[in-house]
Amino acid sequence: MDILEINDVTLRFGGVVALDKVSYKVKKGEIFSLIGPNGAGKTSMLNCISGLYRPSAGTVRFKGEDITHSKPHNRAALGIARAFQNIELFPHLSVLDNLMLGRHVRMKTGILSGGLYWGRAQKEEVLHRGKVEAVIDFLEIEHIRDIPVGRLAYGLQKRVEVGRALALEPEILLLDEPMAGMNSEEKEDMARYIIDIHEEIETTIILIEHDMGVVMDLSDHIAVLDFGKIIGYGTPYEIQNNQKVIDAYLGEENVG
Amino acid sequence: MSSLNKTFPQLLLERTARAGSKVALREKDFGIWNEITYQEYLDQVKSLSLGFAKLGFKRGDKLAIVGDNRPEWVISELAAQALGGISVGIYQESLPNEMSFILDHCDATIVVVEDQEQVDKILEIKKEIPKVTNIIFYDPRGMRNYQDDALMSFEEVQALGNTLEKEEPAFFQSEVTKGSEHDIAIFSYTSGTTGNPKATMLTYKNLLDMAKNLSTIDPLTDKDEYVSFLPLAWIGEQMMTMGMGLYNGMTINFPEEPSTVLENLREIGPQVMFSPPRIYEDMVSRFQVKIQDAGWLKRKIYHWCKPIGERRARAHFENKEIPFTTKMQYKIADYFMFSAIRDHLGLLGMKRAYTGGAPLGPDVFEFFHSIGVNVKSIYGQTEVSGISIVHRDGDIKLDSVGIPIPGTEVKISNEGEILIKSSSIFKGYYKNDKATKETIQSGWLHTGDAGRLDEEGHLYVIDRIKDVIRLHSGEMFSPNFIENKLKFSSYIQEAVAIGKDRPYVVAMINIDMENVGRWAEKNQISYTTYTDLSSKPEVLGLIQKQVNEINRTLPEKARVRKFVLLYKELDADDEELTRTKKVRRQFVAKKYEPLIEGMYSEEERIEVEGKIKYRDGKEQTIHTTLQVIVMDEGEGAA
Repeated sequence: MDILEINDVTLRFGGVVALDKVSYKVKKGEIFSLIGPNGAGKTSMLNCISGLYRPSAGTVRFKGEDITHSKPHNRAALGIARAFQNIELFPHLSVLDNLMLGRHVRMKTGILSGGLYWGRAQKEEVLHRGKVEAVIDFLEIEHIRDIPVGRLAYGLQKRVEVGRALALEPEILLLDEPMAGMNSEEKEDMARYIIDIHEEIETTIILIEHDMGVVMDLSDHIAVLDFGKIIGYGTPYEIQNNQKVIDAYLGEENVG
Repeated sequence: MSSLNKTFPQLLLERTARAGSKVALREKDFGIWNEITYQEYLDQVKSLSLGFAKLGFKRGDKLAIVGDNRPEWVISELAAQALGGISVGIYQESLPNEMSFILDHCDATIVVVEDQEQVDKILEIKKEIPKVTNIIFYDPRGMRNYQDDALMSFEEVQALGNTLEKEEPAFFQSEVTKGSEHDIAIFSYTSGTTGNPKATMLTYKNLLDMAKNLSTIDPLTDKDEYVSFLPLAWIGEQMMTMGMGLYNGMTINFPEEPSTVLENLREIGPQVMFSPPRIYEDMVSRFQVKIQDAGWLKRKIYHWCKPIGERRARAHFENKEIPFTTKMQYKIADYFMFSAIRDHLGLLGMKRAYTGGAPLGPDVFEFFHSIGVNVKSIYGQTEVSGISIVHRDGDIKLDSVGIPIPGTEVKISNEGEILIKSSSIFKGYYKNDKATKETIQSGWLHTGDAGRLDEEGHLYVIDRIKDVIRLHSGEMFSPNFIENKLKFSSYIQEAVAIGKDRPYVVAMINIDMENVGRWAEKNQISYTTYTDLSSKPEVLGLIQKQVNEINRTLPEKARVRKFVLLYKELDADDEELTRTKKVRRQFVAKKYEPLIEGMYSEEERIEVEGKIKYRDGKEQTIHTTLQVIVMDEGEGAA
């Protein structure tokens, strides 16, 4: 079953065509990677899915429903969560509070009852805390639970960023370069977590990553973007042997 | 208390009958401390135990356990013991080949492991351990795609046990009743500074006599709390969690993760703890960082309170009465300052904090006694159930390890070896009669440690007897002592002093990467790796200065004449350290033989070729040249 369908999505900024009639489908429960050289339009593509950009033409369908024109928070409520390339957390809030904030769209109580922490609000808080604790346990960040995010090392902040997206209990998780700037050990850990998220929580994952080793190992399918156009789509094996992709991006040596 | 002539499972039954709703265990999970009462504890043990029985586990069989400290660990141990089996703890960070040796040697039929990581290790060595029929894991994460017939989850085994409970409701009770205090309760593998580890067989009587004897001088109650965070495969943790826990009915708390131990300690505020010096040293450095960041008022008050605390500490060290005025001043200082520090470190409710395994620095002792924490030394070995000598409250001689606990006799042989006799002496090494006979001679345990006793009965430990350096005067001198002096320098991480049957003492030193690295940055010395930093002439100079200062405090013959900075850190994975982080001297001496020979020659530079092994089994060979630093001779050494 296709969980996400992108049909002829075009995105223009004035005269610049960032995405040109891009179409592909993402199957439920797969790890799908978007690769391509810098400026190819990968992040713009993610922005169209998460709702930060509105495509100039084309449609985005989530589980058959057209979401091209719905607002980002509505998409979040539907189950599309995103971890940003540049960490977008509140540096002065603790890890726990950042993760609780990740569940904001799932909370129902208003300012008054929430502020007084009374009745339903209390019950709701306990429920959400439980979900957040499950994420903390999953990503093994118990030891930093109460530390302000700004004081953490970069690799850990990245992990919390993924945690914040995960706290939403998404059906699709968008990961924009989760391993950028990490050393090989941190990368290995992150790859492990991505596999675990995929297998244990059964989340569909859309991944942007430049480390080809990681992409080829993890992905079920890969789409290659170049100057806003899809130039290749297929399994890792097919992509590695796609002459167009090799010319545009991978190069001879990088394959595999 | 009437706990004589009992096994651990029998004690558990007795405790449950008396107070089934009392909290026995607590574990932090998902951010919350979850409580397990004695009744629930017993029920869990019973289900698992019957499950083991269904899998064919019989009286005398061995069960191996690998994992972090969790309720499942102790439940597994008791479940095996309830059937008359023997529990064998294995350090969780053991490498596959170490595990393979122990599993095969102890004849384990069932292995209980924590998670996927440990399962992978066991599956890797499965061919080498044909006697193991079942592998049981208690953290199912990542395990869904495993298809091995031997694998089972903890819950599956317990469910299996529940069916047996329905068929034969009296089975568990009758199995537990069959146990006697003279049965073997555990095998404790000594980390072995030489050769393969040996399995020390300990009976319930060994362990419970120890608990009883220690409790007579240091009583605990069933209201006391204990945090279990050191490897349960280690005899000290076995003693505290199982022996002292069941004997005194303390509540045992398990931390959330190994990385959250210090926070969890603070949340629980235990009454007793036992840990190697490392934990105490960590606490002191955490405090020092915090007080430096504190406001000027707090710092001022601390500096006003500090000497008062130190006066009290000194009275403890000299076994003297504390003068009345100091007592009054201390009350005020405690109210304003010391109680707050204790609270921050999670030591507010601490009755006694034991340290053992390695010497604790005198300044650390002084710090804790001045803030009102009763830190005491323990001396003992696996072969006497862990504890035989302990400091008495208010009588803390810094360089001694204390006075024998009741029921324990200590004497020094003519060769200077410490000999111990007590009812807690082990039954022998499993499948190793030769070593048993060497160790227990006419009822006395030969510890292999050199030491002396003073008039008041305090025991002083010098070093392993085969390592001690004899000076011309006939006095014994310990390489360990020299090493510890060296390690007090914040730039030195680890040191190995060599000198036995040699004309003078030489040392191999590991720099402290973090501190030396910071020093290098401050002095604008660029470096890449550990190996690179260790070979910088400036760093050699820095360490030379440190060694010079230390040499001044040593007797002439024991001074370090030459040293090198090793190109790699000594590591337990390379078998250079034991799992409890002690240097395996014989092994190191052999491994670095060419280097040591080089230091006793006239050479100033030594070519070395070394292998570095990574966790995943990859090896890398390093060729490097080490510079030998020769210290000035004669009266100077300075």
